[in-house]
Amino acid sequence: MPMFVTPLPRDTAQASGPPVLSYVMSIPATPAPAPSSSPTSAELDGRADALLASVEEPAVDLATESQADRDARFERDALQYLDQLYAAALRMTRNPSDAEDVVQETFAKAYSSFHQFTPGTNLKAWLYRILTNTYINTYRKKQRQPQLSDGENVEDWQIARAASHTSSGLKSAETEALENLPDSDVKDALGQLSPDFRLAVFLADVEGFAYKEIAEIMGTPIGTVMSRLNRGRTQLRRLLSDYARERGMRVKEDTRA
Amino acid sequence: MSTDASTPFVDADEPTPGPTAAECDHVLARVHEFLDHEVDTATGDEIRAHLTECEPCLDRFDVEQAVKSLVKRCCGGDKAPDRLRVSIMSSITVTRRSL
Repeated sequence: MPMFVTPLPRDTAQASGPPVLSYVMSIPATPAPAPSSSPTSAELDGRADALLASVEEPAVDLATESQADRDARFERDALQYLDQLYAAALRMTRNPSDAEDVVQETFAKAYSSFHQFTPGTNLKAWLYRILTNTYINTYRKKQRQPQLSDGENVEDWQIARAASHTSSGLKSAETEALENLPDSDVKDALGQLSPDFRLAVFLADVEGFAYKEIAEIMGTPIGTVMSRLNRGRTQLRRLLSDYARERGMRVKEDTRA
Repeated sequence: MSTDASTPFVDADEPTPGPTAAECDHVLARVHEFLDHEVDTATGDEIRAHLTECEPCLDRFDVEQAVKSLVKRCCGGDKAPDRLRVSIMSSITVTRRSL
């Protein structure tokens, strides 16, 4: 490898794993042609349709993909997650303007390292990983809003166990009360969790990521993900129950007898 | 957690008289894994079997599921402002030119 003197473009110099050299040496203007005849434009269109139909299928050859094709692939595949990433950023930052900045930065980073993304693997999880890192590195330090403590040294299973001793009082009435809470209460309660708990709960419940994926996104072991989910949800349930009680009491007080 | 009253079926040949507190603890410790579909089939069956005969645990699972559903219903679905999309596209264009 060091024998080659061709200077690498800045973005590929940091690539790890992918076949950088062949990428540098041959950058065809069109997708790799069929072996025998030269394709008609109709055939090319057909291929483009097939490519479009198989989003996230490992049909892309990073070694031969042109920059224009890669750009098109980025716009098509990555930008479809804009709204979802924005919603996540909004939960993390709790502030629309910061959320926009985080998302903007996320897509800028994702674009410049898109050649490192392996087609066919989980693009959404990859984008979330960048979003999370961007948020942690840039924005979390700036935010000084009060949040519930992580309680890092409390064993997660102990909380579940402790909670089970009080659960005799939790009848389906509580479930019903929670289900009737307005969206704003739920958003507010989630916003009170510490950032790690909030993000883990968001990724699991809103995005439906598997624990393994959340671990990847947050850069932690799966055990930590489980612990964050357990503690985050326990806190969330208490907050929501408090809200439900407060609302219940207010309804009674407001009743003009 | 369970009481004798919550164990209606006691088989004379079956020494275990229904859910014990230890079983409840075992099941409740896995409530999130269960609801997140992160337990294997055997554990899932075990938990479901327990829930059919233990109402307190069932209530607890209901509440946890309700919280999960609430978060899903209320905390996603925000739409990015149009200007953000425009701004991302233009920053990509600028980056592309500088490559």
